[in-house]
Amino acid sequence: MPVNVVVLVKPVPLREQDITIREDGSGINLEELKYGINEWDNYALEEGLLIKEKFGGKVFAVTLSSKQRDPEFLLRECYAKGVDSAILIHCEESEEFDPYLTAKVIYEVVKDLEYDLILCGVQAFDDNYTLTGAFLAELLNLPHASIITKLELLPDKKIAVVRRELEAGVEEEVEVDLPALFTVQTGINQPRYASLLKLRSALKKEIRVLGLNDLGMEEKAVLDERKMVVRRMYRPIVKKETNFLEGSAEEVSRKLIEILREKGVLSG
Amino acid sequence: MVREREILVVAEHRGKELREVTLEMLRKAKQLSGQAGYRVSLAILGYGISDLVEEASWFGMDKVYYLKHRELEHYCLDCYKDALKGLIEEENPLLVLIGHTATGMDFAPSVAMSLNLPLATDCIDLELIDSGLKVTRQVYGGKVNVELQVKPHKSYIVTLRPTVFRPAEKTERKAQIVEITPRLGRPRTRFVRYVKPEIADIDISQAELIVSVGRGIGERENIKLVEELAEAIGGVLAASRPIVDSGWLPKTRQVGQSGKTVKPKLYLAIGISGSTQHVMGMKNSEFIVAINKDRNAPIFDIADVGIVSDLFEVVPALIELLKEK
Ligand SMILES: Cc1cc2nc3c(=O)[nH]c(=O)nc-3n(C[C@H](O)[C@H](O)[C@H](O)COP(=O)(O)OP(=O)(O)OC[C@H]3O[C@@H](n4cnc5c(N)ncnc54)[C@H](O)[C@@H]3O)c2cc1C
Ligand SMILES: Nc1ncnc2c1ncn2[C@@H]1O[C@H](COP(=O)(O)O)[C@@H](O)[C@H]1O
Repeated sequence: MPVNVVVLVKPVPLREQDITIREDGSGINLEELKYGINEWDNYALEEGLLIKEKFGGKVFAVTLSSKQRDPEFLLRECYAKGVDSAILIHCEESEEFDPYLTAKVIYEVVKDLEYDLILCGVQAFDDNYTLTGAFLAELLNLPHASIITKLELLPDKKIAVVRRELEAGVEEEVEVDLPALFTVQTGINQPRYASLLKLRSALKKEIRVLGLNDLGMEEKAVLDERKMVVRRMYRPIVKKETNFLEGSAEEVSRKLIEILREKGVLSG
Repeated sequence: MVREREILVVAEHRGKELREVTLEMLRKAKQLSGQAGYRVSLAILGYGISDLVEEASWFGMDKVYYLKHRELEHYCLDCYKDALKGLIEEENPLLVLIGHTATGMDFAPSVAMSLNLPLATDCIDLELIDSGLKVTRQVYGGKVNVELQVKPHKSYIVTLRPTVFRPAEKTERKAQIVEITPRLGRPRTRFVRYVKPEIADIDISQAELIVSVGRGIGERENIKLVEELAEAIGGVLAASRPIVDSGWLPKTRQVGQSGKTVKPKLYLAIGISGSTQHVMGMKNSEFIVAINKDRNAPIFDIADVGIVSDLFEVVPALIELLKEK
């Protein structure tokens, strides 16, 4: 029995970049950054591809993004890895969205797709809301389970058995009626890489681009529906005094060993 | 009449015990009510836990709602949603506090969306102001704080990050307990069982000296390097989650919210950024040393000693010196 899967993928700033805050604290300097697939979504995508390989069916990748995050590149990567259809909801105002708007706009697109399952990440690395998936599930009137580390589908019975990560290594096994939405945790699988060859042929694939107008919404007006807005951003205030060691690798190593011996942490 | 409104804390419990985050939320709720005179109440969803309900009623709130139903014996999304939706519609609290835990982050969005209420997740602070609600959250892996303004609404839902606030203490005053049988629909998600963690070869939570490695190590074969350092120090090797996700070290070596909580004499973090979920598992270590090439990595915010440098230069130098003596 084929299983169609929708995977939500978000382009987020790649790790290991300097995240700088605008002078006026109104946000991040987004234009200076490089973007790639959100870590959790990469696992969700892989899980979708594994399901397709096992049961047959289609995988749809859906992204809501502004231009500067280079969503087209991300969706080409998705094609190269094996998705059947990539949809970009292009919206410049999406940088100012709250999670209600994000979920609502994605909902307008996903509701018309033929799916048995929706997968997304536990959290987006940049905004850390951990709720877009559950919001979308609620709008679609689907059950969901979050932070899943194992997914077993029984399409004939119209159920899935999943493991949810709780804490301290404890997990919870849950049976969920299908169709359903799951938010995927890292480590559930080992995501594949897209080969250069496949990336090249993915250039020819067509990305379906939709604007808010296509969804019966208006770019600017939609922002009035927000329930939350950013007041300011700032660097966390640090209370602890850290002793930063300076010098060559050897010098800092000597200093560190000395400190640890003085503290009695290291013997000798 | 603003004064009569209520702050409702949703208790988290497992195995007939209240989880710490419940008391942390109660402390924050009381602090918020102190300024404005709101009532504080606690909602406990479950079955066969009257002892827990009784015990919980001594923590200084005004009321405890015991939402009692066989279907609530274990956590179940739809049951929690139905039960809380009913209670919130009935009591119309100004603010609902939920723990930002695996359970809380599962049902909070569903409750909020089904009632069309604003929800702010994973907050480290909040303040009720004239123009609505102001919350503080952390984004970009803890590198940036953001203050959000939630627009005025009849009620707000906030999930609070665990371990940020001190837990409330027991008081002399017992709260009124109100037992309610919630009306529940047919649940579409059903609890099957708990799965316990694997048994460890080495129990890192007992270790006195820990060398912990993160994604900065780059490749599997570089693990050898930190292993050698751990040996030279006479400690054990632990890791952040990505190392375990990649299969480079077993799950039993993972430090953090979903791994082990450790409290060694020395925690040496190498190439670890210091995300909250990691820090939750090690912040009570006696002495924390961090080696990271990024001066802005949040791990330095909790480190006693910091070395801003390439680990591939410092770690070999450390090994060399330790072996010398
Ligand atoms: C529900 C949930 C539960 C989680 N539970 C846990 C948990 O239990 N434990 C856990 O650890 N994480 C957990 N996480 C994941 C967590 O959010 C982070 O993704 C993770 O902790 C990051 O690990 P890291 O610091 O090793 O990697 P990164 O954040 O990628 O940091 C790598 C660091 O290495 C530094 N670096 C790179 N190269 C070098 C070099 N050559 N020399 C020196 N420094 C270098 C970089 O500057 C960077 O700071 C959880 C997440 C979720 C959503
Ligand atoms: N703009 C977006 N486009 C596509 N998917 C998204 C978007 N925002 C959030 N998601 C999905 O929702 C998950 C959780 O995001 P968040 O609730 O923002 O932490 C992400 O891992 C994505 O799978």
